[in-house]
Amino acid sequence: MKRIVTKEDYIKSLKDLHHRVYYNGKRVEDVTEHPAIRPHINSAALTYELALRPEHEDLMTATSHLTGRKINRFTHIHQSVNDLIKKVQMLRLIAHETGSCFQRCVGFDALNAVYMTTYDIDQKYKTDYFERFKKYLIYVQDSNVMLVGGMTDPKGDRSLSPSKQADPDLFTHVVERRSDGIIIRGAKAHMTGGVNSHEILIMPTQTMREEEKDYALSCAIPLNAPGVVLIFGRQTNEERKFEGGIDAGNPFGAVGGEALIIFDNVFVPWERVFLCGEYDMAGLLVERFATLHRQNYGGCKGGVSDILVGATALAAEYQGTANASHIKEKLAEMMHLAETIYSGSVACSAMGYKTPSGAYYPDPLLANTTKHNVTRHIYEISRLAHDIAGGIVATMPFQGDLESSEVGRYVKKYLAGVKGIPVEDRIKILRLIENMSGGTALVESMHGAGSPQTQKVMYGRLGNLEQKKRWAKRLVGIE
Amino acid sequence: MIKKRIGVKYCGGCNPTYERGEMVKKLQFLIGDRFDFFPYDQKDLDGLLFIQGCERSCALESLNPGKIPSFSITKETEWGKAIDWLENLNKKKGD
Repeated sequence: MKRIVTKEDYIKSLKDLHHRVYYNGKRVEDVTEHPAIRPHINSAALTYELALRPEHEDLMTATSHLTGRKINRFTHIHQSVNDLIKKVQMLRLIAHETGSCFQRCVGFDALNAVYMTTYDIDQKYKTDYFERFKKYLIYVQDSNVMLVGGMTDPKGDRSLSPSKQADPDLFTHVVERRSDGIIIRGAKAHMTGGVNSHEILIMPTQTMREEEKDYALSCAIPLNAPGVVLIFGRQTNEERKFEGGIDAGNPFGAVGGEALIIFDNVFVPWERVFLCGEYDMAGLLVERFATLHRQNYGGCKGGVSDILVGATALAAEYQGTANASHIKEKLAEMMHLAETIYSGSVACSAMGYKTPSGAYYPDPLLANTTKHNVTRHIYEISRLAHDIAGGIVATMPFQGDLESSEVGRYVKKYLAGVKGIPVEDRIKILRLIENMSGGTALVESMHGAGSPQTQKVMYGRLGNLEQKKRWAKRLVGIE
Repeated sequence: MIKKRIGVKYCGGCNPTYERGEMVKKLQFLIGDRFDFFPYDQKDLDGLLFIQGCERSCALESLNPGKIPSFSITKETEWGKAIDWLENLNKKKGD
């Protein structure tokens, strides 16, 4: 593929992809022209556009350790603790531009997780996955394609393992091994940026047992490969994106525009297969991807929260409550929570370390703690935004009413706030708050990068409880 | 009068306390008759201006100004100090 440099290159590349995307039961011939998808495309496009701006190049670009060439940071393998920190800083800066998810971190994390784990697989099994993957990585870095990080399988009956499911395809698996490659079947759910990416980098969804060798799978597939089908997920207030006006709230949409991606007997050549049957390595890959992705959330959600704090402060100013002491206190609390999650992302990066592959990895306990805080703090930040902004967030009339020749004058008269502030500006800010603080946006902060319980499981494994007990006993003299 | 060539190097801008691009535009507006501003990696620069989003001053990390005189702006209020530094640079160079 021709190297994607600009926002325009990216959009054209999606036009040329001709992948099988469905929206509400209908085939989408050109995702770039679809009003429900375009906001998410515009958001992801900023990952290209900002990399070209001198005021952001230090964070948005890096030097490839494989080729020495300047690359987009979203295709970089972390070579130092500073790289880990810069990743978090980059996410915060992009969120300041979008107020929404820009999707590309998932593929970024998949690249890093697969890189470091293929090295370890080769060490144990004398396979050549690492060399294969490095070649693929150079292709990704040079072409600057956008990847989906494909981890979450549909999972069917959660009480049953992959091999015991009534339908074996509820977990993505190998159905045939050939001399030139493999055939896979299954699906990946909640795929952020799915319909506006070029490729998917598949990973297993959980630890696998020996009888689940066929489910221990990592591979890269172009999204226009035969047998790949993408079904776009319906969001809260989805239809407002069709209007493209004030009521949509945020021109960049809400969260990432998730999709269900189906693999209906898809062929994958061996050079794009990076784990196939080494079931005991699946858990390590899952844990690494989860950690790398959980590292992010204080960066992007911290940046998104900055926008929500700003919008909430403006809402208070526009309605004359900004000087009330309880409003100031609540805004301070919102900022405290936003900086708390950001601190977690910086901390797990600062405490990161080098893996045997040479790639750097964030501290997994702190990364999980960060994401767990996000599952709580975003809800609280949003609750405070609703508290300050008032019930009007949920009761405003349509943009059509504001512009109506019959009732527009009433909307302007009765939704007026502080003198001199246009009613339209007040509605814009309140709609932005509505967009960012409810429905899909909240659920994403809960379950994106793993549900809260998955982080609690990690505390059990990494929290070092036995040592904590020893310290307590030593302190009071218990043998 | 020959205008002095000033290279501009930005930090990455993760959480800047002011609009860094606006700062450069403001300097261009105020003293553009005596100074031209270029990307930091151009040749034959007379000085380097670091536009830092905060006091952490990350722009310095990735660039060693070496023999070229340099000045860092870390706050919105420092535009006056930057102009003073640039004017001094002009005097030292003797144009």
